[in-house]
Amino acid sequence: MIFSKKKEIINPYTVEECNSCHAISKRKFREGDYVFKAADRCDSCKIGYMMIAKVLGEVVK
Amino acid sequence: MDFLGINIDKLFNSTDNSNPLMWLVWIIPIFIFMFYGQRIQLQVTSSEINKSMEKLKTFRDETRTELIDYVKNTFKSLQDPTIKLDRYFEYFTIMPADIDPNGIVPKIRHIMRSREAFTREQVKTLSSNMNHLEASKITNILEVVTTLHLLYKTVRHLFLTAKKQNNFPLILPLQMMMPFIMEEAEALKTAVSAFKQGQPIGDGIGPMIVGKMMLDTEKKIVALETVWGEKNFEGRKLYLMKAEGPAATVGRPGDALEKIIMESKPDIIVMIDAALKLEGEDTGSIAQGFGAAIGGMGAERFQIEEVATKHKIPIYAIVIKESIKEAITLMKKEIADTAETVTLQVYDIIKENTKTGQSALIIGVGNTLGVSQ
Repeated sequence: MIFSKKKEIINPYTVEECNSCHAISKRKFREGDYVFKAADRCDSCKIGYMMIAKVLGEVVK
Repeated sequence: MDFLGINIDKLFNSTDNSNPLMWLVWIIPIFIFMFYGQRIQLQVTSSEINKSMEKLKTFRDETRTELIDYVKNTFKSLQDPTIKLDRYFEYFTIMPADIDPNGIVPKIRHIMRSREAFTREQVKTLSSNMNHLEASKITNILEVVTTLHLLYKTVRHLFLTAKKQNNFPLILPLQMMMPFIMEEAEALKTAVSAFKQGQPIGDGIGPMIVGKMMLDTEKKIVALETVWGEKNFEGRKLYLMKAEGPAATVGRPGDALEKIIMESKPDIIVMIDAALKLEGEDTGSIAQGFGAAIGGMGAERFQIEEVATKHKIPIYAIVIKESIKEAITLMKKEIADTAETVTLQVYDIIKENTKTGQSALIIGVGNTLGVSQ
């Protein structure tokens, strides 16, 4: 078919950012995650705390 | 080959006009299509619509089952909620009479708010230990199932009426509308997953941008499910307003704006919202303009425009383009990644259109599911 539609598969991810060193980490979305939720201490600088900056869906190619 | 004494080549000889069999082969279909063409077309169109209608029914049934299972699994001590939920699916809203449209907007607002308040209270009766976030999620999923149910019933009504009357022209508008209806139905079905898991949806980009701007401010409730905060920016005062997240709500931006303007008259209003893209436009493209960027029935927009006009406050708008499906399903990367650019644009608008000592009201419009502040 000329106009057949491809079915998109979208995977949810959570992007966390440190409030001190601004290090960014990406992981799979877990239930209970929401944007601007405070998370654990930053693994990179060990000073700041991570915060969920984005919850987004990426298309599986 | 001449098994029965018939010469096939002679029988279908197209160059011989006197051949009666060849004459019939051409003339019979012409008569068939002349007298039964419309019925044949009706049958073909009917079978196409029937297939889509079956799909629509499956969508409705699946989302209904998903909602019932979600309520059962989330509140385990609960009695079977099926009967109660099934009753909600049949609720309808009668819009005010528009023979005389003067003063119709407050009536629409009243009816819609009564319906919202009733649904909210009814959902809370499903379980005594239901928190605000869960109630908002269930209310949104309930809205999805009700819409799919209504779509299915409307399509079925139009289809059966055309079949009953054997009326081909009656089925044509339905055939034309079916792809659009199915696109909306598929979007609604996909939305249930995001609502259940509390994931931000494409429509939440406005609240996400303003939510980040108001992170280190004191948040105060200004209207039902709506918060605001204040901060300073290059000698200007910013009033930031959005629906209260991470619940699935759009808040009451109209009421909130009215209260903020009464308290502290801002010099400009900037509204950030998701907007439906035109075919061919890229998801996540940003456009800037003027006027109240807010969707829905129009009652909130009317209220915002009226207050802004009364106080002569200009309204600037920034919209992020997305499709209907992207607006109600998990926020795509292309949409989420616009946040930084839009924030810079908002600050540019403020700098260009206000002087030091003046103030601006920034509104993040949309469903704030999965987005705090």
